[in-house]
Amino acid sequence: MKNKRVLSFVLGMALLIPMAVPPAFSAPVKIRLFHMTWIPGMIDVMNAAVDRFMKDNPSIQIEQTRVSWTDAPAQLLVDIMGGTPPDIAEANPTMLAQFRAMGAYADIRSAIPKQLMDNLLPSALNLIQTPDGQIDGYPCDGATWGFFYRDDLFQKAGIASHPKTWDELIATAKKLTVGDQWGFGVPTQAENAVQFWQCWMWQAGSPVDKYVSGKWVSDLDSPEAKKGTQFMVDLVQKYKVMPPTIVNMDWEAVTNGFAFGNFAMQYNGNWIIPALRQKAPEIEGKWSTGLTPSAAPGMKTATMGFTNVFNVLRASRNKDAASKFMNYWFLTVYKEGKTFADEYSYVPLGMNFTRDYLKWARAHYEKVLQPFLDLVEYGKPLTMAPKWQQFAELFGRAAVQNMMQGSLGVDEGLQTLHAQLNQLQQ
Amino acid sequence: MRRERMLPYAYLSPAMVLISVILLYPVISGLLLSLFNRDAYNPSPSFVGLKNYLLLAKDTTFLLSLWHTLWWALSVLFGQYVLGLALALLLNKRIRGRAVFRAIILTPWVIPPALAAITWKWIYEEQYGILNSILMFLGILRTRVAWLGTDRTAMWALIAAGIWQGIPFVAIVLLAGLQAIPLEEYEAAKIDGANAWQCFRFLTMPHLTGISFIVIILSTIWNINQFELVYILTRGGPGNATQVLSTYTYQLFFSAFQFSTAATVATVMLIILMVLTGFYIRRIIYPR
Repeated sequence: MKNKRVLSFVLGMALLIPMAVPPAFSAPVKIRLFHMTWIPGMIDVMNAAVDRFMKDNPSIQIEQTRVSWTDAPAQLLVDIMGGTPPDIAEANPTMLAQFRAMGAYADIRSAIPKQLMDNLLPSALNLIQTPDGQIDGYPCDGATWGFFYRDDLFQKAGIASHPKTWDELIATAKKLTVGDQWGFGVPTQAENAVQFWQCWMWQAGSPVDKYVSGKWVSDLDSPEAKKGTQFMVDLVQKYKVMPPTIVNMDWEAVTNGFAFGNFAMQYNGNWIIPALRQKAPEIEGKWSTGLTPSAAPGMKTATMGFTNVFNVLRASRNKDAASKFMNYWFLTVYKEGKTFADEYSYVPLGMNFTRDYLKWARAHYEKVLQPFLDLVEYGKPLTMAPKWQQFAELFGRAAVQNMMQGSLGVDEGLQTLHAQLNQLQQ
Repeated sequence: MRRERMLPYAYLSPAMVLISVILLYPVISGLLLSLFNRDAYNPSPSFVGLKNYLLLAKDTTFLLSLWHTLWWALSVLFGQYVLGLALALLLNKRIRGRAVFRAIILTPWVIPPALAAITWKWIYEEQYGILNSILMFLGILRTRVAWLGTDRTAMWALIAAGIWQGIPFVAIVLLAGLQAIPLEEYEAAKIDGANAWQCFRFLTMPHLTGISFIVIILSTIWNINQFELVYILTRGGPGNATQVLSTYTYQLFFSAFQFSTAATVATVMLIILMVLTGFYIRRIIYPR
């Protein structure tokens, strides 16, 4: 009888105790990672990092949400507004500016380790640091945009060297524009229109949009902005070295054109190199790369060059776990001495914007990638004004494409855009 | 007796509740949103009444989108109706394999719109698209055309794709109408000496008036609502050459994060569509 009572008590406690234990102590913490990785090798690195982290940290589970770059801003917005925000979200500078202005990101100054901060290149540090001194992101894979040349077509046209200035670019492109072949191509469809437009204005010396006394002010009325815009339009309208239909070509269409001999030169990101090699292995060894030209001899060149960022969201209920994963990503060695973050950047032949990686890349990257490493010095992120993307979508893109197609004059276009940008930013 | 009268409403009520939640709630939310100045950067939106509508009346992109939407909807409708009617007349004849042809013509309509749009994008591709290849082979073109890359051709390219997509519905519905026409009337007309054109004009078309009206209203509603085709093929470009109300609404909400302005444009679309729907419902309730 006594044994039965003891047994009943033990069984009863065995049933009751698990129910009494708060769930936090028994269930793992779940975090959601929202990212836009699309290159297969990079997906493998991300999966390896997530799997290994979860193995090393069994109390933290990571669920991945992968979307396209095109859908990312809308999808993230829907997730945040719908009350189901991810814990970590990837962003390019445009998204970073937009969502930062919405107050979507957490301040992770206390979470990001000093050894990572000390290793970041100044351009990356500028990107993740807000005007009021907060740190709201971890820089991840980056890229720079430079020039690609079909050396076989250059040789055929009797051109010995690559252009270094705008004047040389025009002269070279004119010689290379023959029959179906255009001298030059630059992606101008959709968001590319405004992105590359900025590059030409930067090269001409305009900052495009300035942060002055606590607010953003348009520089589109400056002579430098006009110079850059006019040059871009003249490539199509005056010098006719680019087709007017370039406004319908994205990075892939221009890369295809370059691969198949429709463009003798192109302006594109270093990350197209694997795709170029896959599309046209027969032209391997017949193309090379170089710095973007400067507007005039003695002037510094400028181009897009920035890193994407992983941010921990303010709405995350598991910020510590999210930061823990990001620190693991940046500091854990994955293979051949490279961390997960390094390998993630290496796979698309991109850049991890740290001093260590830049040093390693200079020693290990092949010749065609070296100019893109040099361009890190000249690279700028897309304008970080919060309303820039809104301006670009509502007004900038259409106006730039219309100017390139000749249906809108440069003076009229810039005047209107300047007023529209200032009105949005007031 | 009263209970018997209430019974149909009782049976309908679960569906009405579901429709109210799924349809009415978002519509009312959208309407309310259009009366505020809400965007992603404004933490404290305020009530602005009809100000968004007044601003929209001066928005050149909105006015352009409205014009493009009407132009697009009417052009596509015209093409769909004419070609759909021609197809219906052909399929009404006693030809071998008629059932097979009737199934095949449904293909454009059953293909998911996004998939159809991607296919058309490749057809229109300047360098490798089959359209340029065929036209150059036939000697109609001497140089390749960027059908989606110029403002002169982009809208027409979209219209052609839209017509292709909607022909099956028009054809099948008009075919049903044709098959309801009594054959004796044609026999009587022939006896009276009517030729083919006179039979078509004085017999076929009057019989098809009612069903044509339904087809025209429904097709117009669907054409105005069209989003996938325009977004995937051109995203409203080049410039704003193919910007229509649906893509402009999307751009305002998901790219520019201007929620209230997007809701305002969507409300204007709703009003246009409700007017058309009113005609449709009136026709259904009061057939001539």
